[in-house]
Amino acid sequence: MAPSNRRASQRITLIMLILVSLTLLTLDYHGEANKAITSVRNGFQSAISPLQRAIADTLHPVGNFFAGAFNYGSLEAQNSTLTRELSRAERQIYEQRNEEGQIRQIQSLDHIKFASSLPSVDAAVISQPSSNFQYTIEIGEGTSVGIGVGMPVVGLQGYIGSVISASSSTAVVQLEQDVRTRIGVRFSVGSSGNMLGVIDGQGQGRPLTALVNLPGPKKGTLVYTSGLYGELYPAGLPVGVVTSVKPAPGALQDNVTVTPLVNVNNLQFVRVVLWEPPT
Amino acid sequence: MIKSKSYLRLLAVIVVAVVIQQAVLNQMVVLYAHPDLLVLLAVCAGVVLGPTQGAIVAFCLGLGADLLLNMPFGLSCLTFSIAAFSASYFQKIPMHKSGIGNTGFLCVTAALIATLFYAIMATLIGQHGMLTIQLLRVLVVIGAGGVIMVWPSLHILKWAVGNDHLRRSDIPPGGSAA
Repeated sequence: MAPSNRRASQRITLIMLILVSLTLLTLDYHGEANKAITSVRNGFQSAISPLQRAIADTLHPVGNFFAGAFNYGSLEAQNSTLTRELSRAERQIYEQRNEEGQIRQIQSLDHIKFASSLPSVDAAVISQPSSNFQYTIEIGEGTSVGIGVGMPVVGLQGYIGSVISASSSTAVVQLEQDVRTRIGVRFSVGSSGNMLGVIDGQGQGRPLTALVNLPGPKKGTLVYTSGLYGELYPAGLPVGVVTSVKPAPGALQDNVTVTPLVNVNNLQFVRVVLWEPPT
Repeated sequence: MIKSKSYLRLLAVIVVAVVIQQAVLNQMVVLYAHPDLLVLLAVCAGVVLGPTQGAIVAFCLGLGADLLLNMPFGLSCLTFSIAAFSASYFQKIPMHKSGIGNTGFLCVTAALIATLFYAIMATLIGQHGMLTIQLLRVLVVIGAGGVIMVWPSLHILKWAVGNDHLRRSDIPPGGSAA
């Protein structure tokens, strides 16, 4: 093929691929096609979830063990048997510790004081965020146990996030610090009543923020979901604690920073509250 | 031209890469970000397979990525295809004598640009929070991960096509892209 023809062919291929991509993007925004794409996604995620679970089960206990095992690289040959036994024993210790930690986490969920009147399902965290730009986790339970989109997810201390997609055996939870999060909240200010506001996620590793009418809450004030009519979450889920209050210059509102109560790093189990927002 | 047996190998590489990304690399979170094998493989495909076949393989990798993410479907396909096509063109520019470029460096740089492009495109179609400090963290982690993974990625693709497209001298020694 002549070079000019080859270049033309290459460009046509690229243009075709771009057109197909744009068509997929357009279809994703279209109602019925979006459902089809979502079901394909859910099916795919369900298909690989057993593998994810297996790898998550393996990596949790053995991760630290392997980190230590790399230091054994220069062992003499005559020590190999002893090393294997030592490694096996260490792995058992790590596995035991991990199991104990898992049991503690599961048991701790039984001590959750809030939303106790609502039905709930406990689920294992099987994956960290799939996207670098979304702050999500994946859990190992899905629609087969009643989990649906929009349901709140909590840990021992309080609200963690909400379900944004669910397949039969897995669900994706958008964490409260994700930039797409907006939560209607109530600031618990004791005898002077309650103060309402909306807090926004600011991204991974950053506190939540809110604008609250003056006079704003004090530092240390606890923040709960408001549960007002039309809100996405039931009332009374602890969300965070106010860590700073700064007046906005010339404004009638305070800039309030809220630190989440739940540390989402190393979460292994969460509880999904089977509560759907009113339509 | 790629042989039919190579298509099966490429398909296997794509499937395995998607599974490794979801099951292993996504769990390796540093600075709130994880390495991205799929975007790296996409640009490596452009370099190893050329603009046409590289873009097609990158498109398939993008499909796999889009199935994993809750982002607009087709965005990864679009980004990866363009990245692979562009990388294959830059590969043809003779930079080796200047000492500033080699295949590994090109692939990692192209992966970073593709990630930046992805964030910009996502913002343009209405996704919030893409152009934040998180983008810098993501670029750092993808760059570091890319330096480690670029050498095996190039070799795996070379094995998959079963053709000596890539000269040995083009592949950075010891997995370094520098």
